[in-house]
Amino acid sequence: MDTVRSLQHLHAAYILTWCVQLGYVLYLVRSFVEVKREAEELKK
Amino acid sequence: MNRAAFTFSAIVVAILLSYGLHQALDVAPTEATMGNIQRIFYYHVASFTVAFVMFGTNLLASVIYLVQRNTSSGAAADAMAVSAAELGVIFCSIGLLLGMLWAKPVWGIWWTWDPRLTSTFVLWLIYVSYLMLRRLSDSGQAPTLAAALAIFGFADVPIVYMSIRWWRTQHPQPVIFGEKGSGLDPAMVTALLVNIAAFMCYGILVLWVRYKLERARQQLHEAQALHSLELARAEAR
Repeated sequence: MDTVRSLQHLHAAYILTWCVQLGYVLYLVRSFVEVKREAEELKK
Repeated sequence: MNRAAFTFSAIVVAILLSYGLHQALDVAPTEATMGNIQRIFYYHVASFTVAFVMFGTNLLASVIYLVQRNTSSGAAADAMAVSAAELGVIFCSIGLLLGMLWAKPVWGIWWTWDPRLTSTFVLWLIYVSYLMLRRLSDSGQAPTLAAALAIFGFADVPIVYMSIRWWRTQHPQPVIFGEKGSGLDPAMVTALLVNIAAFMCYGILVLWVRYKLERARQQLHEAQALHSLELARAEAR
């Protein structure tokens, strides 16, 4: 059962999980920066 | 949570996740029939566990919002509801994708419309529509409508959970809380529990960050509305 293809799928699964999670965390960081910038603009 | 507590929590979560990865890839025994591809199981089940907890949080927060919608705690519940739904969709998407990557080498197909997969896909669609309703609707009623959708949408969670017990499916029968004779090797149970705990801690930490972002957005929108009102008043004078 352990073909090269199935090992590739296993590695892809673990890499994909953390790519999606890190992408989401980066999106959150970017959104925080945007909200902060808009709040500062409003204060001016 | 202050900055030091957040940094400490993030370090603990990173250690837990690394330990979970080590358990899943190095410690857990290789499954006899499927081989190493079965190791996807530890992330697949952990992702869906967190997704279900997030959808449960969304349900609870939606009910609180509907009860107290005109109070400040109602706004906080609304922020929690949208944050939990978003994280639930992220974890559910990962669970579905991992399932497909696991299915292809084992079943020979990426996807099949069996009751477990179909009900999970419907669950994913329900919460994606919830988020689209929140994102695209300009109506002030959007949070109320979304909260009602969340309450009906959660009804699919027990259907997803029970589907492999109620119907004959291509998806494997339950190995946890399953019938007599089903079960996992103790080393596999340890790897699974460590990964569920690690994913849960990570999910709660990110949920807290997402909640803070939503509260900041709510405060910004309130300040912008007040500012526009003051400008309109000044122009009228």
